Amino acid sequence: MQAIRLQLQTHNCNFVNLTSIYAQSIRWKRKPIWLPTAKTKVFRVTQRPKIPEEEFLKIKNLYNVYRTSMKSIRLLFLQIGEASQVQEDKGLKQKEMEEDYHRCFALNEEWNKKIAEEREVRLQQERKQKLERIKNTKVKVASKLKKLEEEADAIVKGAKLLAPTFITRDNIDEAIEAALANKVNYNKALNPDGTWFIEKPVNPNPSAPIVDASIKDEQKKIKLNL
Amino acid sequence: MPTYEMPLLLRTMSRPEVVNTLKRAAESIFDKGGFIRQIDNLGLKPLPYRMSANSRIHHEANHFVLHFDAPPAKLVKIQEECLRDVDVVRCKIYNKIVPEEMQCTFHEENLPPAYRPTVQKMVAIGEKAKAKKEKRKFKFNTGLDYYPFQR
Repeated sequence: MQAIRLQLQTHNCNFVNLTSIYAQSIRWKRKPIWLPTAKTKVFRVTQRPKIPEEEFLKIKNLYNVYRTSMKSIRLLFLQIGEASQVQEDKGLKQKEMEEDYHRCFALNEEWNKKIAEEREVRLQQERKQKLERIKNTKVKVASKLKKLEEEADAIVKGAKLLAPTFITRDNIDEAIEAALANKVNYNKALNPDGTWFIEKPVNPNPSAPIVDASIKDEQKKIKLNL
Repeated sequence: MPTYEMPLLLRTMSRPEVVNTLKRAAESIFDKGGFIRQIDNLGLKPLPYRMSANSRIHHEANHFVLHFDAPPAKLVKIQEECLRDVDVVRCKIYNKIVPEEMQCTFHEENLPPAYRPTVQKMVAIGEKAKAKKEKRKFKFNTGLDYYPFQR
């Protein structure tokens, strides 16, 4: 009993929806169903219910009416079922299906024709747009090429103008002499007035950028003599 | 042929030797089908740090810059030949950077910030970003410019 009570407390009846107030669990009455009749109740004989005569007749009559109407309804349904089975004609059904198919086919053809016309118009328009686009691109590319050509021409022209100043094998000696004679200084600055500020040399009077070995030797000799 | 710059650092030596060394460098360019545009002589200058080249230590060198045109495929060869020269301390070839043509905007930079074009550009960028943020913000569609309930 203890175990059963425990089960009663812990059991959750959600799976059979026993949470409703109208539900009553057979299992969890005061006594489980598998237990035999109590010893004190074994020989108890229940009394037959006493129904009054009038009431019995009334109930019987109502039940007869109920059975009759149920039977008639059942028979009516059976008749309807039989009638529907008779009407089922395979040939007719096939014909109907074919007719439906032809109708659908014709409708589809009509739609296709309509859409084809629309498509033709659209494609023509697209073709026209594409041709226009190509034409524009051609013009753009041509102008771009022309511009590039002009730029290249300008470069060539500039190079041609500068060509006499280029240093080659013929005038390398003079160029080297000129370079050695003129020292260049990159360290200079410009102010808004356009005046250049050139770096002053650390040694104001450098003997020579390139040391002459013969002079050095002479200097050494003089030093030694002194 | 693109234009290149070759700074050449030559060891301290007599003038005829410098001329010869420069000639050798120029010759290596001419051999590869190139030509020289300009030779700049920056003079004898102290080196930024002690350099060792050709088993010698150098503290100063004659600085030259050769501006030349040569086929790009021959550059490695030219540099290699120059470096093999015993009188060359350092040598390297760079692409010549042609300065872009720029317009002076000093008068614009002198304007007060609100009138400065660069600042105006920045403000425009900020406004655009703000508008984008505002667009994504949730709108209540109440027709009111304030939130009618307590937050």
